[in-house]
Amino acid sequence: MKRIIRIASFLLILSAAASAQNGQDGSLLSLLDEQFSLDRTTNAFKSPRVINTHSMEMLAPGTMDFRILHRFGDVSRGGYELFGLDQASMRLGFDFGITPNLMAGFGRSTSKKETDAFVKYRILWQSKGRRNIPFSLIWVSGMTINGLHDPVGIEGVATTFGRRLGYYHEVIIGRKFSERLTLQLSPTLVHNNIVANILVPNDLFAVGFGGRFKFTKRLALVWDYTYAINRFPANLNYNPLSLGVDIETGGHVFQLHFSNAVGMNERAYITDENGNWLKGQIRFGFNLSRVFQIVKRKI
Amino acid sequence: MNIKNLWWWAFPLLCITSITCTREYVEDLRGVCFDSDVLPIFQSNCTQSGCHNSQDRKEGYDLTSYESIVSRGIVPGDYKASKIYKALVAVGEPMPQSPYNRLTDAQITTIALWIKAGAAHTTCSDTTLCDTSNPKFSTVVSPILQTYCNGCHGGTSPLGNVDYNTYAGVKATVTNGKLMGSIKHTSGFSAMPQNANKLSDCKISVIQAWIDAGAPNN
Repeated sequence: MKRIIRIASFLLILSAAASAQNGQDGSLLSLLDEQFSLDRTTNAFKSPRVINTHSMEMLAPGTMDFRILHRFGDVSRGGYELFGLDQASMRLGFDFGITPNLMAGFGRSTSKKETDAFVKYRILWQSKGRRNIPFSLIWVSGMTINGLHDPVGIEGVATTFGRRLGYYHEVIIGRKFSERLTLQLSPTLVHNNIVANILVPNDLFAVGFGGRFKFTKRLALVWDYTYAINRFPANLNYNPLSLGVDIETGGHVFQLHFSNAVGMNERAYITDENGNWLKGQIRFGFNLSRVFQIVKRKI
Repeated sequence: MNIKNLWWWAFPLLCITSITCTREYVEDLRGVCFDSDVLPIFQSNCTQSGCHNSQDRKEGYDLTSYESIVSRGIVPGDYKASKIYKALVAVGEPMPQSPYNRLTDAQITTIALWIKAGAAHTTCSDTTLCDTSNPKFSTVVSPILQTYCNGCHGGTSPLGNVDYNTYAGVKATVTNGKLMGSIKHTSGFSAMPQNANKLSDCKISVIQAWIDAGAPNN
């Protein structure tokens, strides 16, 4: 036993010396903390969504995130339409934190009167200390239901419940590199039960790229882009690109952004036709997020 | 919540989703007709002066007739391998080149479906479309103009001061008589569409019926 302690203290001193050489705070106490505690990364993003895509962030258990998403019309419509502000489409969303690693939510979009619901599970949580995990790994699965009277929109094709449905499955690999910078990558599969013709794939594969760069404690630049791999007809311009700022004010998070995406759920913004950035077919939009504590926290 | 409880929720959810997941597409029962669907797209969008008509034959492509279209750049049955399709969806500078617009998704889809079905010389009578009772601008007239005229009279720089991007532009040529004069090949008007056959009597009569009704924006 004595021997073990002796070796351990020797190692401690050695590593303390090493870390002192690296110019860090080499006090033995902080070193102990680093080795035996588990420091889980939080606040990689300000909310569970980057802009459109799910982020590597989860809701705390017992909380509900009430989200109001707005997208205005095309900026290219000009002054008569007040650069698109005369039109708006929106999504109302309710997301719930169930356990630290599990959340679920649902929402309703005005576009196609679509209802969507999802389950999000954190498989790995980026952390330092006792366990070193360099990134977070998150699984999201969701389902969308088109609520239009005639969702297919073609004469002679019967409307069945199955033909209203779409699904998406997504893996998010994200890392908070520093207090300022977070990046994430999200391979996604979007399935539509029915498509317009034989050439349009039922299974659309896509990769999302999202990130955040924090300027100050309350202000950050966020972006997300989704590259669809087997879209028909191939058109890069439809890939949704959103650029925005996150502003945190007390209990609210405001996300103000410009995007060519029309829809606000995974099926809609990845598979539907979006505008062309180069032609100014972009929309101003904002997401408003307010988190409520709905289950009392145990202390 | 423990993991066992979670399964009570997850299992029915998995069942529902796996039962409801299907894989369907809308089948086009009429099929793509080369003469009335595909040829006008090529003629209207690709055969401008200096481009792929039978005189200029840019890059060796002449897109004015069935024989010349299938002779080069079309692999029947495989649209992805067909050079003409690849040019239409090329990243960066797709055909038709600027200042003309990229073809619409519907037009690209029509061409790809036609190639996939074997790139045959199919003809359909368009009597089914020949309904002159109350033809609407949005569903009947505009698609015809889109197919036959917008290659030149659309996009970012419409030719001859005739802009069919908007209803207002169409209405202007209805008022000054140019639209009917051109498509009926009346003397004193330039015969349209260029490098292509005259519109069918059916299409002309449908457009005439719409104009007689006051050319409404409906």
